[in-house]
Amino acid sequence: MVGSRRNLGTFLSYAAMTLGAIIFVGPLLWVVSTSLMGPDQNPFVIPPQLIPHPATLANYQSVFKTWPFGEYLLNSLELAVLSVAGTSIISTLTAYPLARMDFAGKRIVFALVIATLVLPGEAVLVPRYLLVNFFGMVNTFWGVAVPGFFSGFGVFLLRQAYLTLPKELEDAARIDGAGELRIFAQIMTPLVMPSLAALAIFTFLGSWDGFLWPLIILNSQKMYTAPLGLAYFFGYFGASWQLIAAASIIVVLPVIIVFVSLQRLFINGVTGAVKG
Amino acid sequence: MRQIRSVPMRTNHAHRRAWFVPYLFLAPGFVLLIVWNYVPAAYAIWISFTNAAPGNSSQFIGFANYARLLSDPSFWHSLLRSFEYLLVVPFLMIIPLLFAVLMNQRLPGVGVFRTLYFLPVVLSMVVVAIVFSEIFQTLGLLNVGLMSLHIINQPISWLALPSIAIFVVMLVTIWKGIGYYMIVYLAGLQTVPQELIDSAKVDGANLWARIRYVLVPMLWPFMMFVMIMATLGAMQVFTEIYVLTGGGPLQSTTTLLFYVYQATFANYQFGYGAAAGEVIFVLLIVFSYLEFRLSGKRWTT
Repeated sequence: MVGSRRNLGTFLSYAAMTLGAIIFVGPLLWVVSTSLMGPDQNPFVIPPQLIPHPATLANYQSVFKTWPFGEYLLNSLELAVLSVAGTSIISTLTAYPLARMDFAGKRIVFALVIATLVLPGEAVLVPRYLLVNFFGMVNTFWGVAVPGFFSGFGVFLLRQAYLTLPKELEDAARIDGAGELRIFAQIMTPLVMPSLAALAIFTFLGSWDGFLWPLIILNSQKMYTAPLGLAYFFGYFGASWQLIAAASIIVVLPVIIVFVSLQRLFINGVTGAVKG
Repeated sequence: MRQIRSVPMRTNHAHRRAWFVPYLFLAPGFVLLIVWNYVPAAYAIWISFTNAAPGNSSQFIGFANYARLLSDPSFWHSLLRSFEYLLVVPFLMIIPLLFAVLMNQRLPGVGVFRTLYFLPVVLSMVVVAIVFSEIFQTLGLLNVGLMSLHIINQPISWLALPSIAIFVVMLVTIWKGIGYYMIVYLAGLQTVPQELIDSAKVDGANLWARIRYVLVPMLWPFMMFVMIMATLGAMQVFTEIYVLTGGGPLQSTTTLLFYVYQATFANYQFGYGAAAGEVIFVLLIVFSYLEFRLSGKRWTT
């Protein structure tokens, strides 16, 4: 009796989980399938085909040949690298003293940092744009990336990580004659690598996925990131769904590969945000 | 030189460092924090009292922008849409919790499902919005499916109907957000001792009772975290709207942020846009405050 109830529970669990998997992965599979179709094949059939007959990679070629999509991808990559580098450096530098040093004004600085967590950039869209304009950074990747270099989330995540390191480590290094910068860069920061990697991944993802802010700052097509280019061709050109699907897969594929291989870090990033 | 200096340091002041060292570390981040967060916050207030626009020297015009805002039906309309959009919050609080409970079981293959559920989180929102647009367009996959099942005879223009379009956009927000909050809850479930759940089971508590009296109280801080994040997220929805509807039909999906975007970057009225932006600013602060209060109260009882 108990056994059969447990079996039923297990069965229902798997049924529910499978249903969820179809809901969450199904649309993506449909995009993959569509991207492999020729112009005369119809993606809008029920049930959708997993692999179309015949399958073709022509759309993937066209995306690069007829659109400047390679350029968009390079722009996205450049912007993401800039964002990750800036955010990592600024977050470690800012989090370190907040975690490991005592100084006048520490509480105030920390409060100013924390306040940014509940105040997203969207609330100050207009003045930020005008500041970027003031610094002459409109239509540059710096204009997109620099305002995000300081990340309340990043500082918080790394502060938590630095806090867990033992004091003895620092003392031992100091007795060995290491200066403050060396203790920071060569002893303490390597030990917070898991958190730093999680931050880097989330920053990369945020940059790769970024839309509203780049849309405002980047106004020449040459500077477009992949999402901007994709939205542009989808909205203004009404390109065929097959072509758009291929471009979509190209945009999400790098991130999916990174995610599947570095899952642990993603999860750490999410849970790190909660524990904070 | 270095040798000589390090000797007294080691003996007398092992833990002393020059007073300015922390400030040197802080300086770059602090400057960026002030310049890109607090200066804009203050600057926005000033702009909102001017008629700033590209190419004109902005002049102080008092409360004119705010007066115009209050008398503009489109503004009120967009404010209402933003409140309506908060409907995604309960969905994002509850559905991920159910999935997390499901995923927290020790079943073979559960890790694979966890990965699959998180997948939408890492997809670009532009891509997700485009896919849903192809599903929900008039000749899209959903209508084809519903017609082949003879549920409807005529295709429904989901995204062209002012009463329905916003719910399609909300669906996209929910679909993409579930995986993220599921991971948050899974982290929370690690803090619930399995014995507690087992003993409740032994005591004959049914599933609902176990959720209501064991899980929810234990996970309450996590639920509050999700509520705050989902609320802030709902106030900032943009890409889904831009791609799926462009704010239409008949402004039925023009939320406050979208309204600010249009006023500022389509109509180039910076002063007016900043004034509308101030409303988002105030709303975010009020929501955060209310929810922190709510979470604090429940947490201590």
